[in-house]
Amino acid sequence: MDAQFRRGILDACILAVLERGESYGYQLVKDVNSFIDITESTLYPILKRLEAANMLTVNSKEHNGRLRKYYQITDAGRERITELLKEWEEIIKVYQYITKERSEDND
Amino acid sequence: MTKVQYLDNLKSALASAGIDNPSLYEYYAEMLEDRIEDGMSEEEAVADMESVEKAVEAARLDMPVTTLVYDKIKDSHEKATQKGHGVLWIILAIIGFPVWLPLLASLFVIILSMYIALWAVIFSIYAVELSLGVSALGCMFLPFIGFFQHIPFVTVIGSIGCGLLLGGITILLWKPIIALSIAAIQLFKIPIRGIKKLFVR
Repeated sequence: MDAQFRRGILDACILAVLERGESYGYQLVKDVNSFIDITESTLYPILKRLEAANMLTVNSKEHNGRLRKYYQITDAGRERITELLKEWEEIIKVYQYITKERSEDND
Repeated sequence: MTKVQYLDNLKSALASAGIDNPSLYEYYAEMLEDRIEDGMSEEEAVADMESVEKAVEAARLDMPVTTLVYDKIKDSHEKATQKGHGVLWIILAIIGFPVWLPLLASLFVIILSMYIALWAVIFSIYAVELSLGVSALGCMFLPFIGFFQHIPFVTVIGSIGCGLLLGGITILLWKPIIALSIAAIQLFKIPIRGIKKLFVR
């Protein structure tokens, strides 16, 4: 899969997981891994980028005697999901057009 | 490998790669702790984590190209010195000077020209937006001066209409222009990341 395309999908996946509620790094890896492969080193720059773009916020909370970082989606993050879904609708339309054209050519 | 060994290896690997990012280290430590808390043994948790090498390689991709090139040259010299070929490395570097310098210079010129092209595109996009906005204001407010100079009423109304139209276009174009700028920056990152990978691996 194209790296840029994959990055866009991963952004959407992480934001979609966070839309259900706040989460932490390892939980995000587990949740996103259930539908697309992601590693720690891939997740870290994505979280940093989304935080820089104000699409998520980070809070450190005490958990079992240590600090754990929790990520929360912001309104800008929710808007981004809406934008990405609109973009996907266009991609699906293009996909359907191409597959239809190809099947007609084959016939 | 135990948790402490993994984290020690990570810390020293990050330090030797010139990465001073405590939050990155804390991130990996947290990932490891969470795995253990999830029921894995220390060894299983370490085995489930990405290797230290991969973690450092990914972190290095966020460093500037100049740092990566410098580190690659330094690393190559250190490896040659360890094998006892340090002097030979320097001699070859001097002899190969007419070859590697133009190559290196052209690489930097390519990156610089891409950077200039990117900002030229962004600047021109915003220049169009600004000119539309200024034209809209001009069309809307200048006719009021015309009232005192006996400009026909129809021309004044037409001018205000054009101003409103241009103002509408300016507002409508604002979001697509921001999206286009972000897309241009994202597009610029693809070849830069490719160049960086040459010096990371």
